[in-house]
Amino acid sequence: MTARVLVIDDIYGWSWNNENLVRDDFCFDLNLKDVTGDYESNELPDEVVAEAVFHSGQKLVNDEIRNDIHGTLDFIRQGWTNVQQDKPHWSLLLLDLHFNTGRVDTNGRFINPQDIVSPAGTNYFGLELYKEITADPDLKNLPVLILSAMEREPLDRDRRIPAGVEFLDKNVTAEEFRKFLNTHGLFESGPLTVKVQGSEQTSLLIGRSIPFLKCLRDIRRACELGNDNVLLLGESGTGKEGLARYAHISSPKHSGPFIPLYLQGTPETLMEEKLFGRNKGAHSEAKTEVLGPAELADTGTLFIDEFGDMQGSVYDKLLRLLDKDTRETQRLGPQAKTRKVDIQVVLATNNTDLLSEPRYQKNFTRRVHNIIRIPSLEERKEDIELLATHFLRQFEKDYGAEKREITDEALQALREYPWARNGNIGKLRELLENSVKNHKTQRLLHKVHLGLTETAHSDESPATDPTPQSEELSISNQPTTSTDLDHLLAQLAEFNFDALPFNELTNLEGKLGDITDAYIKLVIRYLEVALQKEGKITPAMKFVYGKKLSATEAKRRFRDLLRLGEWLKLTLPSVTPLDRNSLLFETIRKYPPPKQKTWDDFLEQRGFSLSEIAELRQEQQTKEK
Amino acid sequence: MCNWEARRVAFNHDWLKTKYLRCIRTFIKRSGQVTPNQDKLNEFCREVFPQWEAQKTIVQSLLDSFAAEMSPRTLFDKPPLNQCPEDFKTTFGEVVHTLWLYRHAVPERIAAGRHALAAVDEYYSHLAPQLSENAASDLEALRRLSPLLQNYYDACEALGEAMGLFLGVRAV
Repeated sequence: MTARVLVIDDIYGWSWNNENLVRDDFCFDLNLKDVTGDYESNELPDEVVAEAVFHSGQKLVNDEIRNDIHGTLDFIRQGWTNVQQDKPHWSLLLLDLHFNTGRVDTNGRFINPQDIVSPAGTNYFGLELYKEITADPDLKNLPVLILSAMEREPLDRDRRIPAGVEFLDKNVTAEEFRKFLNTHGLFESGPLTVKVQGSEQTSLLIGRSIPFLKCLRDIRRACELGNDNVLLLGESGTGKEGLARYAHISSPKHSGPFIPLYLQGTPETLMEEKLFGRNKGAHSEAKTEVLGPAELADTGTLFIDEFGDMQGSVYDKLLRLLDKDTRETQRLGPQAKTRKVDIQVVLATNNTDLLSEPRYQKNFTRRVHNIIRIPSLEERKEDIELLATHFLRQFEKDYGAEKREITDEALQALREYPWARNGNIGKLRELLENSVKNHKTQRLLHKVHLGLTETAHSDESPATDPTPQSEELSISNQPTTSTDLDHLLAQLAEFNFDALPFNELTNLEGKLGDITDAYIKLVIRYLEVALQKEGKITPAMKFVYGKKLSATEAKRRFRDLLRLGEWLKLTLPSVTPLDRNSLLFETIRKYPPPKQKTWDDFLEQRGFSLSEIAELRQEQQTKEK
Repeated sequence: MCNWEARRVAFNHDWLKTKYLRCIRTFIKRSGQVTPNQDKLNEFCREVFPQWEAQKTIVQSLLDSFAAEMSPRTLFDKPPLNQCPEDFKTTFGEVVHTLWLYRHAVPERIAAGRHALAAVDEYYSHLAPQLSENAASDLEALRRLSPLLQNYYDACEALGEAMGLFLGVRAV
């Protein structure tokens, strides 16, 4: 999505006779696309930096223009707190200071020039709006600039203007406007195409929640000059590398190289060489020189991930690299020269308490001013649906799976999950990949497909084998559709019976009969249906097993299924009398169970008289002989 | 707000900075496009650009009348100072007027305003014959005018700054 700017201005906001030529020029000049919708502008600039919506801040009452504070605030809220899913938030609000009021003709011209309220010495309506916006807890995060052609000096001295108000000259150029938008606006990132070691890589930063957009804005501000140091503090899985790429793309160094360096787990003995490179002969195995990452990143960005484990002289060399006045790097090895580099440095760590360590408190913080805290996924729940949808589409394509919609129940579960310190976006990605991989034909993503656990906030890294959920399976007593059965099977598949904790099972005393009955009921009913559908044993066995079997194998497997433990002992109160002409009866006659007693009980339960049972027994004995 | 200040704001804020300067800039930008909007180009030449002629008169009037209308001497024409004796008003009025002129460099501000006005007018007089009603039909000619138009724009901007210098100099 593009940035969307709201402009509240009496001159730009009205359209009379379906046009506003001054607004057209404003948009064309600043490379804005007018999406207000009150008239069709047939002109677009060659390059669009943002969409713009215009509102006059006023209303027309009986040919008289009046300022309308409530209507204007409602309009602002529509694009901020009540914004629809497919539309962006306001990225920036530009607020005019002085608004002309009075009676107008049908062309919007003031009838009596004396009706126009003089600008200075009266209340600025724009200020009234500004104060309402900044006092409203729902609107306080909306970036606001005062757009005015008034001279700055009297405004700066005017005590009615609150401290901290940012001004934008109405005569701003396109380039200046773009800079203001970058440093003040809240808007989403587009695709990031970055050259990494010679090849272009494209990635996406997905998110439109305010904490995330503020993080992006902070990064743009920090990288405005392209020669500074930036520290990204964020838990594991919050997307630090993606944001480092964003820092690179947002800086004047964007056409230079982006060199990532991952230091997690690097032994101390190798740290210096990995960070600074080496000369030939630096040690016995150094047959060639190796350029340091800072040299490779010259004219671009060096990204150092998990730098927090550095000690001693390596740390001192890092400080020299971070010193903007010198920006020196020195390879490992004898007579190694210091080399100056022109880079921007982005550091990242998931140790959010790093700066409380004494060795980082002076020399480091003097060199690294831009400390940006990345919000955890819990702090940006609004983005969960967007991220989940993106990952699903990606994995559906990768695995050739069906496209699926996320159910409200699954979305709610995702929103309630404690992501902080539980892997954040990385964990979300893993859960969704597993859900697609394991359920390729699903068209709905249910909560059960996610395999979420009830893990509370934990300092441990996420477990690789999630413990089974203890929630109640929602099983219908009267399943009426194959979807119900499919859903039941999915729940059973996910239940991880073999990983149930000790305590869970010790509470289930005497349950084997219930477990067995449930299983056998399902299998026998499945067999009966298969026989009814297919008419013969061999195709019936192909149906239940899902693969073709030889006639001999089919019969063997059918007999084995019939001999399953206790099936003949089922004492179903509503057992169906066995049809003596049915294929099932015929089959059972051919493949009787080994124990005579159970055979007799089974037939008796199904409506056979004792004499009929005796007759059948005789028939069997004759066959066996 | 006094009448002089209201007229200055109407010129500098409502017309020059809010409308005219941007119109010039977008005209330059449009004429640089491969297929610009011809109607908008012609509209600028026909209706917007010539607005300078009426505004020029206003600026001249502002510069001519500033010293007389905005001097603290005018306070002696209003209550309560109008109660003072006539000879006192005449003598003391002259004193405060002179002090005001030189403490606030009023003649220099007026001179700067006139200089800026003259610069704008000079560029305008060079451009006017070439920005006729149908100038947009010859895009190449328009594009060749771009440096001169940029100079015109810069001069108008300088005039806006010069007229802004009169803020804070008023007595009332």
